[in-house]
Amino acid sequence: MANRFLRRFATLLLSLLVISLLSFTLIELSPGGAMARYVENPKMSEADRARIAERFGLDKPAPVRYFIWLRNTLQGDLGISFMTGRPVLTEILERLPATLKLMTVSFFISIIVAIPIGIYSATHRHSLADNLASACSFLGLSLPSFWFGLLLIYLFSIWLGWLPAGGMITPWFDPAAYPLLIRPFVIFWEHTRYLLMPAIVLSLSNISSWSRYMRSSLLDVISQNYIRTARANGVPERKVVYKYALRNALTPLVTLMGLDLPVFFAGAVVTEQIFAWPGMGRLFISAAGNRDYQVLMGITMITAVLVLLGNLLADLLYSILNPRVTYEG
Amino acid sequence: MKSGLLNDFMRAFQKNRQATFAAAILLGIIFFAIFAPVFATHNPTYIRLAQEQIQLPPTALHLLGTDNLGRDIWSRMLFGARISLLVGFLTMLITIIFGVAYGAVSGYYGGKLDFMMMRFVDISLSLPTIFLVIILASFFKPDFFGIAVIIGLTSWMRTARLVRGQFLSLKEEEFVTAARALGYSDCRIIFVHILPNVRALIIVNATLLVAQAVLLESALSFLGFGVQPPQFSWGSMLSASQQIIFLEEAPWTAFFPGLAIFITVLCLNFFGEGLRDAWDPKLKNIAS
Repeated sequence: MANRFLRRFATLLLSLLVISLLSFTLIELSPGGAMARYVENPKMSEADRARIAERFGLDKPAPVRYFIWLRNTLQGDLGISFMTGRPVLTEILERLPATLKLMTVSFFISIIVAIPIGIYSATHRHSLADNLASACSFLGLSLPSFWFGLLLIYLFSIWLGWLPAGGMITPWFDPAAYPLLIRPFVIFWEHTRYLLMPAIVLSLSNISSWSRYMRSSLLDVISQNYIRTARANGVPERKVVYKYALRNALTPLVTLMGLDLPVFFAGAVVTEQIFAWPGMGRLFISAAGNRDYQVLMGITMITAVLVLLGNLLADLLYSILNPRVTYEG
Repeated sequence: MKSGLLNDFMRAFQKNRQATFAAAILLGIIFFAIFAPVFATHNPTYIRLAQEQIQLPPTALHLLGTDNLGRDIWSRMLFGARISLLVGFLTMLITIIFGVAYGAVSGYYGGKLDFMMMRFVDISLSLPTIFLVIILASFFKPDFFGIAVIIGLTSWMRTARLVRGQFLSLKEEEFVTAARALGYSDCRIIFVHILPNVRALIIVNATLLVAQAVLLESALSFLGFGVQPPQFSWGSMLSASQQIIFLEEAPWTAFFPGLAIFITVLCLNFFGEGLRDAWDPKLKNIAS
């Protein structure tokens, strides 16, 4: 067990090295490289550019700079943003909580909706509800999330005026203005009304794929011998499904959730952009527009760390849910 | 066995009816894209900034209205379809070529090489590639071909894994041993002898890849990192609607291109599923 996670951890470090090398090389190979932001500026002289390059250490050869970047990163220094002149790590840490809030809520919505749908579909195979769920998941997987988001904004913010179109909280929101008794509800609603639409948009593809996966996974388990034995022994159907089958059906879903993490982060970038959610994805989009390469590298690395840790967690959960698992490869 | 086979066939046929319908719609969209100049009522890139010409609702003159720069949306939809479909198709080609070659080599040779190559696939799959895609797109400012290359190079991994799995089992078959005994080169055995057996799988995977590529390209273009003006795709037509004021004043600007993406992707998915079911119901559980 310990050995297994040691190996997983080594793979994690290797993956981080690969993605840092990849993103560094890609930026290096692009026209202008790290200086791309300044290359097209007609107001800058060659001397200005040389001075900036020297100041940020960009005049050194690329391999040297990669190792400098690596050393600094290991010491927790992700460099300085070209846009704001502030440390990249500070900028990211300011935005990260918003992204994590959105993703956590959306993750739980996905689980709470997808798993019951999957269970119901599997236990009522080919029923009307099952077919409907199947059709909806098909639609959900084909729906462009940004279009879905815009439709929701048009419907609920512009037309009905029920929910705010973007942002995370009203800037002048002051809980002290409300009587103590209803204050918790006011605070809860204030957060919820901003969170509702982005979380739903971000959950859409997860719900679509997880509910289908849950269904087929549960059906696989139900067809196994030990379930037939349990039924033959007269165990009530409810108990068969929820006590014996569900646990084994959930294990592959945990792996799928881990594998879906990169897609989940990609969805967060688009969602944050649509709903003006002040998170890391939005910072990434603006940094990409400004070709602020230190910020881009920083966010890519932080996301990679989060995704890989998520995978590790999924792996750990898997082995807890399924103690028989042996590690190979 | 017999009744099961008949049952399967009936079911495949029923599924296929949806797939046929989807294919018909797709053909229609492709037809409109090819003959875009014939059906277009206006110049799709012509900008009319006069107040009475921007954000017009759909009328007889402007079938789907005009956008915030006074451009005719119906005409832009037709020409935008060309880029969207072309990028989707090109991306699929690049993904398939690279993924199939990678998976074939990995599966055919097996052993240590296979182990190393699959570890690389695992690592690539666990990376948030969207960030690399956006970095590439923002630094290189690619045209539609560049976008296809970028998306293709970051989505070949699943195809490689699928193909590799097939090759691992197929290479043990007797016809491969026979081909080896006849002294054919590895290259010939891989591409001429084994590959045709994986054809169905690849075609199904390719259809679903086009759907994913159309979605990803439209998202990229929506964010402003896809095809750059004056080129445009369905995704970039929605881009302006990120500003709430444009969405409020002219919702049709966002509605129609998004609907086109949705329908196209939906039909591609239906078509792919239909192919999969009709060809080989066993493939059902293979993720795309």
